[in-house]
Amino acid sequence: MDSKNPIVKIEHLKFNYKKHIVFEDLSLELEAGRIYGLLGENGVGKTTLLRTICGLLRAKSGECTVMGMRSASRNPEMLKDIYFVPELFVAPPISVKRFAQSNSLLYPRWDAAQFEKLCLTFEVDPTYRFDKLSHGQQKKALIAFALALNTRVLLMDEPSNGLDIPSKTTLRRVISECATEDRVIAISTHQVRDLENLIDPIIILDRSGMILNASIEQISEKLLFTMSQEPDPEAYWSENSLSGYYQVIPNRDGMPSRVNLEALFNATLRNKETFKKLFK
Amino acid sequence: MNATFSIHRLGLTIYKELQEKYMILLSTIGIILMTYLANWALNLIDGESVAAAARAASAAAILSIIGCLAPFFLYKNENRRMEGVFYAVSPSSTLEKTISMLVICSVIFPLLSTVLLMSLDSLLTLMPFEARYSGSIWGCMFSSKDYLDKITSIMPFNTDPMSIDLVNRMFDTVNPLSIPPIVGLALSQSAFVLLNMLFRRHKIGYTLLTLLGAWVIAAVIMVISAVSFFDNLQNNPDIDPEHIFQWMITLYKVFSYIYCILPAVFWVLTYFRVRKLQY
Amino acid sequence: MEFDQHKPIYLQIADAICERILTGTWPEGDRIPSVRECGVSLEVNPNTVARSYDELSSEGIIHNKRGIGYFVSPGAKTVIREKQRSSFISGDLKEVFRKMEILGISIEDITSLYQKYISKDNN
Repeated sequence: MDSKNPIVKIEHLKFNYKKHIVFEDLSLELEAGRIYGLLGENGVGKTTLLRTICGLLRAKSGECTVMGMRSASRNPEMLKDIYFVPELFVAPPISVKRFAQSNSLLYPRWDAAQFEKLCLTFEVDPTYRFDKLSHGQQKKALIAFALALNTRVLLMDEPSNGLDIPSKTTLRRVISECATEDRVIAISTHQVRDLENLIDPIIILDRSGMILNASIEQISEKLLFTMSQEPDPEAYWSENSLSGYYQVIPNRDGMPSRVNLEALFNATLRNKETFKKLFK
Repeated sequence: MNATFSIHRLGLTIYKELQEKYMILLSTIGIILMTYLANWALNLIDGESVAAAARAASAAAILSIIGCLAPFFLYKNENRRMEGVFYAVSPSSTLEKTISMLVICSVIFPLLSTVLLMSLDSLLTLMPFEARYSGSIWGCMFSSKDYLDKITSIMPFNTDPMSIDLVNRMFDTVNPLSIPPIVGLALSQSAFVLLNMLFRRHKIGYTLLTLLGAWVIAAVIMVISAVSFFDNLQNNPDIDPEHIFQWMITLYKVFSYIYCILPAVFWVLTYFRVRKLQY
Repeated sequence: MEFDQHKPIYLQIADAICERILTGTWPEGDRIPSVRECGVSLEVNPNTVARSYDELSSEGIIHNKRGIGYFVSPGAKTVIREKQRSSFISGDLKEVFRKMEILGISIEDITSLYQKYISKDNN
């Protein structure tokens, strides 16, 4: 955890869909043993980034490597250690169990018992036909499958979307359980509340690239999240409430505070350039 | 383990795809058998006995047509953005995925459907009805080249009854060189596999358009070449017919080679298409 | 799992562990849930829990037995009480004094109220 051990390396990635430029010059690294939260406004490239990492999309220029292998070459040695759970997908017309059995054949660390247990935890019956399940159930089934593959890289695009409240709790527990030292999990989300306390470090993307990639600890060193009676002149963001002003201000005295992801996100959007420098 | 190819991984890939697609496979074969059965039922109503050769023809026809459509059923979603994610992310190399497609579409499916269809036919011959199915088509199927020839794709060379003598000689020379119909089937199927992977929506529609376009282009080329050929002939009436004959034979040979290589070309193009696909 | 909005999660977890040790729920010498078990039940990133455990270990409240797990250290209760004492004085008490100043409550008022509280408690 202390020594740098990046599994995914992205260097000067440029991606555009015809005229629409998604990222200009994105560089970042994802290290093992962490659960990354990928935040950003709509259309900023979170899904594109995840899809580029697992080889579904090819960037126009720049390099993306996973465990030393280029994502774009779709090397099976890389593919067998990475999995992507898309936000939306079409389930095939076979039972969940058969889907799991056939799709797991090429993954070396597949654990069928773990899959059964996860299905039980998520209250999904694997004997049901995958395409006949409700959207939320399908999502849970796929997440259970993805976790049981035990790949070193797990990418999830809005996993909590479409899940009911108890399932979101289960999702948090299950991700916490499956996050090991040698694994890197990257989750892109809009619903920060669904994954609060789980995601650390936080990556916030913007049209021009990356604004910040920092752990909660680093963020709480530089920023103070506080409720005060008076509005702070240097506040990056503040919200008026009954008990006063809830603000994100520079952490001048090194006080500990709880990082509120929604507040952080709002503060970042307002102060993009400042935060880019602050979290270099 | 080689990153590009490993027999073990190929075997697993084929097994995996069969596990996912066996229902589609069986239903497609079911369509074939149902069609044949319907044919038999019609013959029953007609009240005529059908000889082996004719049955072989219809069997071959059904097999070829459905065989060419099979890739569209088996690999309907693999190249589409949302449905194809699982396929794209699956840990096999592109080469293994393409070979697996080849094995399933061009080996397993044809073999299985042919065997089942001919078994059905044999079963039907045992039926004690008036309009009997007599004889066995097993032998007929593989020697009835002429029937299959008519059904499969492009005739690479058109003859014009300029000189009966020449034409006769041509056929005598060409017949021993004739291409087994299986090549024609391989050609059509490989073309359809490529088109299936090429188009993401309205596959059948675009495929038909492409075929129409190809046919139009081929027709235009043939008409132009025929016209110029006969123009030439008219202007130079004293060319040695032997010379023309040899030239036509060479042309036929060239086309035959191209005809035989085309399936391989289409499969290679399919490989590159799968490699380039983005989701 | 709902956490307080203001204190960092890892500190809240540490507090909760200390609370359980003080009340005797987790007696000294007993094994406490592993980092992973704790993370799962609280729905928290295991690294955050690890940070809590590291903090408590460095303060001598818990210790790690390799391969077995974390245990409550002997004398943990004393350490915790001391820690909470100084935190109370520098934190909660300061806030009480601030409010007293604003509301104009004197230390004598507090003393009599405190006597009343103690006697009620003893009865």
